[in-house]
Amino acid sequence: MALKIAVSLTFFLFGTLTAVFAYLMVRKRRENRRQAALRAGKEQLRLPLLRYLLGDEEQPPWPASLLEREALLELLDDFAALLKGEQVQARIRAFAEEYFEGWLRRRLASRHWGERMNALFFIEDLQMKALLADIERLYRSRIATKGEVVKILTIFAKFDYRPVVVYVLQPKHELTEFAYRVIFGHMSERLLQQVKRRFAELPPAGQYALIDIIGIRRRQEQSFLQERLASEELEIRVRALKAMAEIGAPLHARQLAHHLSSPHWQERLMAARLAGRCREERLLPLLYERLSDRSFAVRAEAAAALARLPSGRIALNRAAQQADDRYARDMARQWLEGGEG
Amino acid sequence: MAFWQSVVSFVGNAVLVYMIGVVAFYTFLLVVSFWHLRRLHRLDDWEPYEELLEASYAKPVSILVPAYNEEAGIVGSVRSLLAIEYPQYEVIVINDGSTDRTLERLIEHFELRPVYRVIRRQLATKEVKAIYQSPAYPHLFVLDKENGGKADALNAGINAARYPYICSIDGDSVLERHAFLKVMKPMLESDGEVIASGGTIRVANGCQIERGEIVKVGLSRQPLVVMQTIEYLRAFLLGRLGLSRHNLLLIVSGAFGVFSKPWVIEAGGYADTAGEDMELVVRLHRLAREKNEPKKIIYIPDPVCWTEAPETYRDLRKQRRRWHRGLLESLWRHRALLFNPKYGSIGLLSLPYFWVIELLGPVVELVGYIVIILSLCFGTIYIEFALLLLTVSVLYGSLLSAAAVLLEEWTERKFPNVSDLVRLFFFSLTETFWYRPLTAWWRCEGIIDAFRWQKQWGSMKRKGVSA
Repeated sequence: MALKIAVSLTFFLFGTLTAVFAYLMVRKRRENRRQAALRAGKEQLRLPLLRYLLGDEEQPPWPASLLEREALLELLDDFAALLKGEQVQARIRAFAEEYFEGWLRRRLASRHWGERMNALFFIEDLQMKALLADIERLYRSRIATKGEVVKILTIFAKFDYRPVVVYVLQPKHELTEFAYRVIFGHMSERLLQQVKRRFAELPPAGQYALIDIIGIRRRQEQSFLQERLASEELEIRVRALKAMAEIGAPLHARQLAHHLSSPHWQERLMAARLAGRCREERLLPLLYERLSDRSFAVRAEAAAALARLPSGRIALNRAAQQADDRYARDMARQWLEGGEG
Repeated sequence: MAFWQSVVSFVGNAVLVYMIGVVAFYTFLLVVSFWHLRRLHRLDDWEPYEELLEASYAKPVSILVPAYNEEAGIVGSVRSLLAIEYPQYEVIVINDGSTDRTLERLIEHFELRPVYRVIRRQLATKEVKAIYQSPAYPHLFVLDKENGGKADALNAGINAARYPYICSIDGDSVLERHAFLKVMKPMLESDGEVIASGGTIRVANGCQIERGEIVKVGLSRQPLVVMQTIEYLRAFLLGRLGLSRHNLLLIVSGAFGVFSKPWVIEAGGYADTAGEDMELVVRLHRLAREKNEPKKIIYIPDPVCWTEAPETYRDLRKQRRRWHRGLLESLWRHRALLFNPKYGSIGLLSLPYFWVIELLGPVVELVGYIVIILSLCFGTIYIEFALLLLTVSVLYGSLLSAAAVLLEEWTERKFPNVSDLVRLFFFSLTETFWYRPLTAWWRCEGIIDAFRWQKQWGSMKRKGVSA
């Protein structure tokens, strides 16, 4: 009896597995063929689509089959990552919205989590802002999982969509610090300022992430400014030095020395101001020299910078008494007597 | 005679009950895995990870490659590691006193030069003789140390590692390009809740490998290797995924796993046992429970590390003996956790599972085979029982493996050729009749070894998959 049950069960399972196996084999063969066709289709469409996106050729025909549409969408996604420039990106967006909007909208409402996620990835890559309302609907729906919530908020941030500020304060699912960092990382300065204003309302993970992102942004700004110092244009260099002094971004003494001896007084002025913020002891001799600069503004700034150095007051004292230059003596005395002049 | 017949019949019934229980348990795991994999099924393969690559917030990782006499494959392995996509990482190869030309091969190929690097000795190891760095690849370091075994080499690597996460990779393995990002993703996203994560190990024999990268996935011609391919599918897709879903995982494969460094150091690093990978994971679980911190150790099916499987019976036997001995050693060492409610599901579910199913499995299987043979000898009335036992063994061995193969094809689909799938399926059906008894016997030998406290290392002759 037991043997009978076991044997029939085994045969039943064996039969089931064989059936599944047969199905999978057929599916594999079909899938392999489909993939080959997809690759071929992509190759065929690649050039016409590229020419169109670059503005050289007529719009490619409406995809005749599902396969062609898939090929087109994948190509478009590749190009969106490859081609830079506002005009091209705008064309990609317009093309995507014309050809794929309806389809992606249906995908967003799919029962399958994977399909919804893929739709979100496409919308993100192709910057399809026209689907914002649909994404928001998905966000508010009951089916949205944590992964989707993070992705949707990231898309909102990328698209500079203002309500995201409120969403991050009270997200549907509890977000990790990492998720917050991704979302904040994509926010424009304007949105980030708005979140900053409501800092206290953020959950702790969001607060930590916000502080991190501000630090990262600042550092990026600093390196941006530093790169500008190499500019040929005087005005750019002056503005960069000024901005760095404003935010207290440190600069290496050697580089500061270079700007302190610029032929342009504006540059010397801002370099002196930055030197004061950096408190570079090594710059003391150079700043001392600037006390007798031809420009009054530079002299004043150099004195102010010296006053901030630990041993600056001694230097100012010496200048007030011994400097050959009358202007230098005056400026030093003025600072020693406690006036910022 | 009658007495012996009743003994055999009693034992046979016990084996039967055991096997039915195990089949039921694995069927449950199969369903869990199936639902999980199905959910991910339609997801794009790369998009979810793109973000991490650009991000300045992906935490850096130190990859540790212990190497002992791996001159054949080491250069290829290291090259594949240097090509992985991850924002910031370093590769530390630890030459564990190799007696062949492993170090020389590395020095020649990467033009290594000796450098000075401060090592914080947080874990005790054998002496590190020299540290080399490659000028062409500044993130490649090679430690040359005295021989001390794999665990010792890994610990030396941990001491030298600069980054907060460490990843151990066997010297003969090849990582997929994006495997790293995929295995790191849950650790990053969880804000430190996940302290260890491991990927899938698959058999590289039969795959086409160029310049340390898998170019085309294939299936070996050798039956022994095909069976191992199936065995890995079964172990990872069926076993680990199901266990990982409930934080019950006790093994993150030594061939490819990422760990949080502070936790590993606090747990005392790797221990010198035959199964140092399992030992570490058990200790991490233990530490987390003792500190009462809700930490997770997970398995992710998608990132794949391809490794060379033994191709001869001799090497396979050695490997299985060593693995099983390691399993027993670790379980024995942590026997205090067994059925200890203080350790929650690890003590109440995970460890019993490993004792009963993983450790005793081969013993019971072997007894089952003996009972079948004996019953056939005893004459007609026992034939029916022998057949019953055999049928259940087919369920236990062949059908579950066939299910694992189908699960792979349904979800992951790593094998491109239809013919590979056909061969995998048919070979899996033969498992009960030759491969299972063989490996069951070898694993039993491992248990015997453990009792004899044989400490020798089973080292396998390597051809080098990535050469």
